[in-house]
Amino acid sequence: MSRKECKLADAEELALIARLRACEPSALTTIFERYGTAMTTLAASMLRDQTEADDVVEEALLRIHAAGASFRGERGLRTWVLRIAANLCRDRLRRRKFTAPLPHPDHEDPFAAAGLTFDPSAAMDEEIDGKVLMAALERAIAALPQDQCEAVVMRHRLGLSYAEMTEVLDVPEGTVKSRLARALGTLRQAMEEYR
Amino acid sequence: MKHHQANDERIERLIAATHAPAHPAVLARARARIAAMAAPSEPAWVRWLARPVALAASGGLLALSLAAGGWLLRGVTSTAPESASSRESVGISDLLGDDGSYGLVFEGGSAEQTTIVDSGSIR
Repeated sequence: MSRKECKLADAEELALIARLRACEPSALTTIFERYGTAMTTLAASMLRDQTEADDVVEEALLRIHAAGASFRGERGLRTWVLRIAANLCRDRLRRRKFTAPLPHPDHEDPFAAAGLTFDPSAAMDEEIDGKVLMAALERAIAALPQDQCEAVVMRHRLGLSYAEMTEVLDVPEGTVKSRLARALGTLRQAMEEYR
Repeated sequence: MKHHQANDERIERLIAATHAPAHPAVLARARARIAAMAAPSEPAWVRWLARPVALAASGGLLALSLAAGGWLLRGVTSTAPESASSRESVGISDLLGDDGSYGLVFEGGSAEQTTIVDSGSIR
């Protein structure tokens, strides 16, 4: 992004923050249009349940609306929004420990259950059937420890920078990098047979 | 090393190819909940009373008026029978006389008779 584009993006974000602080209803719509997919992707990847993911996004929107007036904009809007969604996901995962865990058999389509979709063109060059390959990868991501799973999703699925990840996860950059390295090591092993 | 790097890039590319689309119904539900929360469910005066500042102010006023009332009542009961002002009023009424003559003596009878005679003279 050029400096001019960056400044324009900053100005747009500042205008959006001002609207959010004024509790304008249109601000929530803009936030949903901009970050709705990122929030839903994060929630679906962490919770592996479409209904719960939608509930988390809905709850996140309510919290954004309620806290919007006091949002100072010191952190980026995207990181703030994703942090709210990630915290709600963690709350749900914590609660799941006390209730019956969701059944996710190996033969079940991991995309359908979570409400995830993949771009088939990404697996076009692969020798293995794209659907089988992507399903295997998704199961491997789902099997990762929670902290590594959210790190992988934020970095490689949502395209967050290390600096943004430190803000969202509230951990040092070194921790982010080590979580990612461990996660990639596990995924590499899991995908070895699908080469 | 190169093998690892190539494999990691492949995995990263595949991870990036997956997304979950946002459903507009989620925004609609959130908007409906915000609207429901904003709508007043009780009369305005109840909401006004529920405000902490109003409650504190009302409580303060109540305490103040109770204290003032108590102080006034104490003052009245302690001064009523034996106060200097009541003794003074008894003395004055002794001086003036209970018959309403105000200490004046009229010739030929009381003040009342005089009035009658006087009225009669007008008649």
